[in-house]
Amino acid sequence: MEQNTILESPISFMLERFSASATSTAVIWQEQDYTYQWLLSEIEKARDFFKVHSIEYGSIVALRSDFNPTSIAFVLASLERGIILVPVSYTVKTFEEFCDIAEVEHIIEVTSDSITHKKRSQSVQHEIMLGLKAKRHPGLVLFSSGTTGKPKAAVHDFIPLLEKFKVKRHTLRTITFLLFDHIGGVNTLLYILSNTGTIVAIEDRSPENVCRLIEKYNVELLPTSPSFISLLLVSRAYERYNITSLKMMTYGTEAMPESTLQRVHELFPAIEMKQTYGLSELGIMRSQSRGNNSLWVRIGGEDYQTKIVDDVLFIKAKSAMLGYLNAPSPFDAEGWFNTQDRVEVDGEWMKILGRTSDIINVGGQKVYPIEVESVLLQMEGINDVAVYGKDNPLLGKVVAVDVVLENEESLPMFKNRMRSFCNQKLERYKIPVEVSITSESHISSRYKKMRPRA
Amino acid sequence: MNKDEISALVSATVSDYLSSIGADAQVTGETRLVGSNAVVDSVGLVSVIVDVEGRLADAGIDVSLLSDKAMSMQRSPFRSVDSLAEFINEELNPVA
Repeated sequence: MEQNTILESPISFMLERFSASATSTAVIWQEQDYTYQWLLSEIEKARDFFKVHSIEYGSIVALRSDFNPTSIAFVLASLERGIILVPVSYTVKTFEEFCDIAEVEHIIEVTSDSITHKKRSQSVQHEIMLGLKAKRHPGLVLFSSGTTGKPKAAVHDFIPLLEKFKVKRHTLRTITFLLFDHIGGVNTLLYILSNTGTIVAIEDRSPENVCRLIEKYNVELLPTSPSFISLLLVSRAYERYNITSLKMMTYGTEAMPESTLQRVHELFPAIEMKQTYGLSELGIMRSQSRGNNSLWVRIGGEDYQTKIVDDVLFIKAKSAMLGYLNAPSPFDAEGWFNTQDRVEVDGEWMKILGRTSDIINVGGQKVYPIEVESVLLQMEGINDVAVYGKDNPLLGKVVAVDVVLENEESLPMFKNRMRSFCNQKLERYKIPVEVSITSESHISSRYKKMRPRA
Repeated sequence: MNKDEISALVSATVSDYLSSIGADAQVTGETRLVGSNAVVDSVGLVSVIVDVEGRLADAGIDVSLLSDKAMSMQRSPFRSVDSLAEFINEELNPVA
């Protein structure tokens, strides 16, 4: 049967396209080009690797890596072999814990110079995993970033996830900025490869290196997060490199401060700014921004339905995850998923205000951290801010802020300057009461804002 | 820190807060912080209290003004600049 795998393979449509574009560049990594021909032969090697190490159909395999040509080949080969894939990037410090939760049977680690295999003694018991194995469908386990509480392991059947990539679409030369184990990263990878575009794989995601690679390889699309865009603005790395090849920047995974979007649009009026919306549990939806400097977005697509209940966005997806491995099902009886995202609505457009859990209740009035952060970021000499709620005996909660300043300034002086600045722009209860000047930014290694919780 | 210094610190804090929000007013000992004639709203009051605590901390004095004691006193220590200064003075320089 082995020789027939390509014919039965869920990625046969991709492999056919790879053959037809054999000489095109699939991946640029560590300043080297890798063609689709090369990728095909690397997939063949990965198939052999599975056989040699007795990694059978339906095995649960953790792939510890970042985007590189070999790890990409392993992702594709695992789809063919019906493997339940658990990609884990190096930003994850709790790898063993993730392996336990996902009932991982094999660990493959792909670094720049080695491929290693380790078998784990693990009995697979979770019914979702057993169900996937019985169906002989490849699976994907993604951990939600877990800004609140423990990360949850979402399991997908990979077959429906692949469906949308069968329609051929136009691609842009893209940096795989989003991580290897993030729904956005997986989506970028499959989208570009299934349309035989070019990926620029990146390990050092600093603004400096991102801008350098954009210049060197004429990158056209940078899928990223608002936190990275903030860092980019502060670093001014774009002044040291020519990044005019960029046609589009997409931003998602967290709410964007309005002022940051305005600034980036003023600096790069020619770059299309598009907001994306996706969740580990549901996949990436189609989205359209109302304009390059607008936070209003329309989301949906043929596979998704949306509804808003009490200002909270609910989504029903055709290809939603099968469930969590370590948490109860979040879907209601009709299959709706509560995103916990608060939104404002204008006809078919919506604006994401923030996570329900981030809302600060000041004496009964609601404050969204992103709105306050957006105003503070317009002040002179602010490198980073994180707004959060702090317990207060008089008001329940008050707005607190940690700021990273460009230049030294005393706390009372900064407070006065901040209050004067916010006075015309924010209602009184939204102006931070407690202020701390800190030296560390609140952006995580996954380029997401981590707000302190008090 | 003696009582006069504490009064001056509280007055200056209230005055700075008012000017930072564009509400200049003459601050005296009688300036009301709570009630219908108050110069600050509830968020302003909390801001002033946090700022006073901050300034005291800068002077090496660690005191919590939103303590259970302050909150449960029959006559709120936050009524006016004077009453707040007096409360702080009692906390710092207890009469035996």
